[in-house]
Order: sequence, then structure tokens, then C-alpha cells
Amino acid sequence: MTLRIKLLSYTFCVILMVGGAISLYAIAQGRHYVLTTFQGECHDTAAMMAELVANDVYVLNLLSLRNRLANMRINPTIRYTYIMDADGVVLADGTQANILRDQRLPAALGADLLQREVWLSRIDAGGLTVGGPLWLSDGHRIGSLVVGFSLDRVNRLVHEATHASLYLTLTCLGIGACLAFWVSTRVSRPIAAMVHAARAIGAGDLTTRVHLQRRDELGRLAEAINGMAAGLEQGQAMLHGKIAETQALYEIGQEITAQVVLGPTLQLIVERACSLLQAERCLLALRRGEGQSFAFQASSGTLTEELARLHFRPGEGLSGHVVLTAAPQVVDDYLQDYRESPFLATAAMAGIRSAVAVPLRARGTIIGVLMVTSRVPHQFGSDDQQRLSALADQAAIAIENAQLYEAVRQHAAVLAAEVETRTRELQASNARLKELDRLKSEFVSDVSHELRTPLTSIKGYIDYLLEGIVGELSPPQHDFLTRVQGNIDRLVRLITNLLDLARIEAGQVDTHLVTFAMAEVATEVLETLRPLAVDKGVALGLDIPERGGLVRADRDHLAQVLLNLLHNAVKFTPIGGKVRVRIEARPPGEVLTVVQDTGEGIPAEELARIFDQFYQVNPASAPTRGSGLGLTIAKKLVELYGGHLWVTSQLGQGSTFGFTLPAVGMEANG
Amino acid sequence: MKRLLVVDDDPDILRLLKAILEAYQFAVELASNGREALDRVRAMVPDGIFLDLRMPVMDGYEAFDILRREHPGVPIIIITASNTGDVSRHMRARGARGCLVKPFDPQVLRTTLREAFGWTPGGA
Repeated sequence: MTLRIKLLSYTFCVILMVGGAISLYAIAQGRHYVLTTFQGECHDTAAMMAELVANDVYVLNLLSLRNRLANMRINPTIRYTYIMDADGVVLADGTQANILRDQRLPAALGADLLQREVWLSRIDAGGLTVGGPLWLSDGHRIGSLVVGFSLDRVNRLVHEATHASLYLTLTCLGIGACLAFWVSTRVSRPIAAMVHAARAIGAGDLTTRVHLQRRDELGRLAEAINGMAAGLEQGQAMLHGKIAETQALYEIGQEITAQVVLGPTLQLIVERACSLLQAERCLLALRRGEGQSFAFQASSGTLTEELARLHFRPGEGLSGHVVLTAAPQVVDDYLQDYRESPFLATAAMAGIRSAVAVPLRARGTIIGVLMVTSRVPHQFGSDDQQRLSALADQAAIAIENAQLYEAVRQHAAVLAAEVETRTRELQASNARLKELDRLKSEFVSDVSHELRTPLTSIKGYIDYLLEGIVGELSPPQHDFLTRVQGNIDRLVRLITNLLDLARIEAGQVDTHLVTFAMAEVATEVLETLRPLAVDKGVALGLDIPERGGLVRADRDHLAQVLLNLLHNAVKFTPIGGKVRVRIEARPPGEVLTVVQDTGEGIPAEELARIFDQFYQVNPASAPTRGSGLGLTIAKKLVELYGGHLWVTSQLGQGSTFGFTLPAVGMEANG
Repeated sequence: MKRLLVVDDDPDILRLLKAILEAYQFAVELASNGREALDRVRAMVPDGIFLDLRMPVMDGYEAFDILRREHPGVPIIIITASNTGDVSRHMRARGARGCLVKPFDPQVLRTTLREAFGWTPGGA
């Protein structure tokens, strides 16, 4: 329930109760007064009548009595009247018929009417009955008179008075209600206005004011609310100012720390400091190297030559003072405060009158000074000093980062130059190596070719001498020439292998790729070597898979590999020994070829070296010396076709050479 | 008696082959480069030619092409000091009847003669 309705209803109830009570009291009083007055009048009337009729009663002139009573009854308020003698017998009842004559009426006013000497009256439903004694002039009581008055008139009067009173009361109530309405309105309206205002303020509209021209408590309350709103508004404005400042500082911080190169970083710092403090000019000095000397490095606008040349040490001038005390300084008038400064002339020329200077601090040391200046004295306050200090904190970090970046960059440049030099050297040396390699291959190829030509002649002549084409040879001649022939053959093998190796290493080997079964080649090679094996008394065996074992390679090359392995095996296996070739296709997608002998085996310490060029195991034990290149070539050829060759051996138990090659399916045939 | 032309820039090899081939009952003509070989063939067409590849003036490759074009019926046997299978395959593909890789065994020469000219030891 609103205050207004409460006020309204309370006021109205009070008015109603007071008005009602007054009204009821007035009605009761009015009625009492009217009745009393009427009763008095009736007594007077009855007493007057009693005087008038007393003589007639005395003389018992009934006619006159009747007439007098009849006359009296002309009065409309008199309902009846009768006269009784001293004994209470009715003499006349005021009617023509006089039917009550000689009757003793039950005492209308009680039995004592006849004895009492005063006038009695009684009010009942019928009206007002007044009765009293009839006196003779000598004071002798001769009878009684009873008069019945009608109360119609009185009642009417009372009614009228009551009505009037009620109307008055209602009018009063109406006026009271209006008054209550007015009062409640007068009180509640400003309260509502203040509630509205308080809500608006609460919702953030701090410009809301209560407009109330009153001198009472409500007026003071409104003033208090307005004061509070004004205070809040001011506080909020200050807060917004601070937030904007913090935001600006943050943004500047972000901006300057995003820079990595020192020069632009410094320039950005002075530009931003200038705009943040709305200063005319901003200067930034940095420590020079590790020493105690500082120099101006950046200025908003351009850094004049005088300033750029100016170096200061701790304690010298304003900036030196800042460095020395490590505390911000606000200068209201430089010309007054720094009269002793060695830089007074420069400052005056540069138009520095008032200034704020703050230290740039990084990791506990002063790395420089940031300063804003104005040509006008007294331009800066503690507020400016705080803002510049806040900016300086960010700036110092950015400067340090930029300096570090600079150092790293220089270092990186040195490293890059170094790397480039080295790379160039490596490239040159690589090219040279390649060229040397090529020259080597070419040389080997040429030498091999050039060696072959004279060897062809030597070998040819000896071969045909031994064949006896030009005549029979003596046994010693034959023996000597046979030895020459063996060495020539070895020389030819050596040269052939050398050339092969040079080709493989230079990647110049010609490959004629076909798909074939390893078992086929093995069979052929085995047949080639059979005469040698039979001569040596070595058994040759072949285990081949039922199907598969297809590889894709140069057939001649693999024949060469297998021939080399088998030839070695036969060569190093003593009489009665066995050499077995086993071929199997095994997952995943490999063809394995194994050459196993029961020869003398290879010592463990030599196993690792047997694929080296020109390495020969126990050459003295071999019946004929090889080139020392066979295994090297075999290994390289197997690797050329994506396979791999290995050896296992145990001294006295024989050796096992194995190699794998990638298997191909039947469909790849061709 | 079949007439063979042997072409090689090495006089020792020419001398050797002449001796062996004559011992095997062939009439032998010699030339020391491709140009000379062509002159000899124009004077008289032989029954077969042994042709070295690396020679001065005109090498064996050039001479081979001309000889194949002008006398496709004359069998040519290549003599080479290059031991890669490639040269042999290559020249056979171009029409060479055989290929002798220097230095060659007497057995290989005899096999070549048998296959190219139907030669038999002690025969013809």
C-alpha cells in the first residue's frame, strides 16, 4: 500500500470518526433540547388551561368545560384532554359525546397524580402526557387536568435537526477528504519524485536531480539526494578519467613493447609521452654503453644537434639530478631552479622552462631519463609526474627488449655471415670434391682403357706363343710364359674390377633391368664353376624354391656377384669340402641367396674388413690371388638393386655369405 | 680363303691379329683408322671386318655406320678395350656380328671366328 493511500485513508478515518462523534453528540443534544423545550411549553399550556378551567370545575359548568376543552383542541398538537375532579372522576373529555364522563380512568400518570401538587409529564409511544392539579384561587385543590400532546411536531423538528446535522457532517467529511487528499498529495508527490530520482541514480544516471522548492524536511532530503548525485557524478567522472588514462597507458605500453628496433621504439616513446601529457616536447636520454655518461637519443619533433651532442653525468643538470636521486623531478621554472646548471644556456635555447623528468629503470639500474618540457613555467603537477612515471616503466622494458633484440640481431648477423662463409667454403670444397671424384672416375676409366691396350698385346703374344703358333717352346720357356700369362690374367682382372668399382662409385654403371628367377642364374653360375670344383674335389649343391624367387636387376651383375661368392667359396674350401647355394623367397617380399662353404672360415677380427677394397683374407693360403675388389664390388652391386649382403663365419667351420634382393611378382616380368 | 680386314690404331695388335688370323688360314688386310679402312673396302670388299672403336682420324663408330650402310652384307666384329656390357649390347643392336673385349682369350677369338665365318680349327 503506497504511502499516499495510507495517509489518505488514515486521515479520512480520523475525520470520519471525529465528524461522526460530533454529529451524533449534536443530534442527541438537539433532541434533548427540543424535547425539554416542548415539555416546558406543554406544562405552560396545561397550567394556563388549568387556570382557565378551574372556575368552571368549581361551578361544575360542564358545558363551558366542554366548550373550553373543544376550543383547546383546536390546537393541533393537543390530542386529547380530560378533566377529573378531586376524586379522579372524569368531568369532561373535551368531546361532544363526553363518553368518559363519570368514569374513573386508570391513572395515566400514575395513581399519585391526584395527590401530587406539581405538574407531571410522561412521554410514551402515544405522545406526551401532562397532568397536574386544578387550584382554586384560595389554594384549594378541586381536580386534575390531563392533556395529551402529539409529538408529531417535536419529532419533525428533531428529524429536521438530525438531517441538518447529518448534512453538515457529510459536508465536513467531504471537505476533510479533500483536505486529506491534498495533504497526502503534497507529501507523497515529492517523495515519489525522490524515489524516482534515487532509482535513476541507482541505475547509473548520475545527472538526475530532484527539483523541489521546499524548505521543509522533504526539501532538505531532496537537496541531500542532489548533493549525493553530484558527488557520485564527480567521482565517476574522476574514475572514468583514471580508467581512460590507464587504458591509454596500457595501449601505449602495448604499442611500444610491440616495437623491437631501438630507434623507432625511442621515437614512439617520446611521441606518446608528448600526447599523453599534452606537452610541447618530450626528450629521452639513455646511458652510453656501460659507463656513467648519458646522452639524448630521441626527441618529439627533431633532435637538435645541440641536444644530440649534449652528454651529462649523474648530478649534472635536471636529467643528471634525476639519475643521481633515481627519483622523478617536477620543475616549475628551470631558469630559476637550475640557475647553476651547466646546461642552462642549452635549456634556455631549447625553450625548456618547466618540465617533468622521470628515471627509466630496468632491472634495478637507471638506463635513462624521460622528460617532457614546456616553454611556459608552472605547467606540470604531481599528476603529470605520476603519468610519466607509469609510462616510463613501460618504456624502460621496451627499451631494454629493443637493446637485447639489437644485440641478438647483431650476433645473429655475425653468425649468419659466418654460416654463409662456411657454407660457401663447404660448397666450394664440395664442388672440388665432386670434381676430384669425377676426375678420379675419368682417370680410372682412362687408365683402365689405356692399360688394356698394351695388355692386349702382351697377353695376345704370350697366349699365341704358348699355343705354339710360331713354333714349339722348350719346357722352361713354356713354364716361364705360363707364369707370365697367370700374372697378366690377374692384372686384367684387377683392371676390370677397378673400372667396375669406379663406375659403381661414380653412379655410371649401366644397368639392363630384367625380371628373372635367381635360381636360373645360380644354376648357370654353378655350371660355369663345376669344372673348377671338380678339379678341387669340392662338392657343389643347390637348394632352390619350388616357385617364386623372382628379382628385377641386371642379370649379368647378379651373375657376377654370385660367381664371385661361389668362386671364393670353392677357392677357400679344401678337398672333400662342400659348397651349397640356397635360394628362398621369404616375407616380406625378399629373395634370399645364401652361399655356404665348409672352408677354413674367416677370423672374427677380419670379418668386418673383408668388404674393404683390396682387403684379402690370408692371401698366402689362396691358390691364386684375386684382385681384392671382388667382395667390394659384389656388395655394391647388391646394394645398387636395393638389397644387402653380409657374411657370417666361424674359424674352422666355414663361411656363409648371404644377400637379399627385393622380390617382384610374376606380373612384373619383362 | 676368306679375306678379313683388321682395323686398329695399335700396330702391335695389328701385327698380332695378322699373325694369328693367317695361322688360322685367313687372308688379312690391315688399316690403322676408319678412313684407311673405308679406302681398303672400296678397293676390295672383304669377307669380314675386325673394327676397333677408339682410333684417330676417323673412329670406329663413324666407320661402322658407313660400312653398314655401304656394305650391309659384310659381317663386322667390334674390338674394344671398354669392358662394359653396354658397348657390346649397343653395337650388336646396331648390327655388329660380334664383340671382342680387349684383352681377349684365344678361346674367345676362336669362338667368334666360328660363329661369324664358320671357321673350324685346322679346316678351311
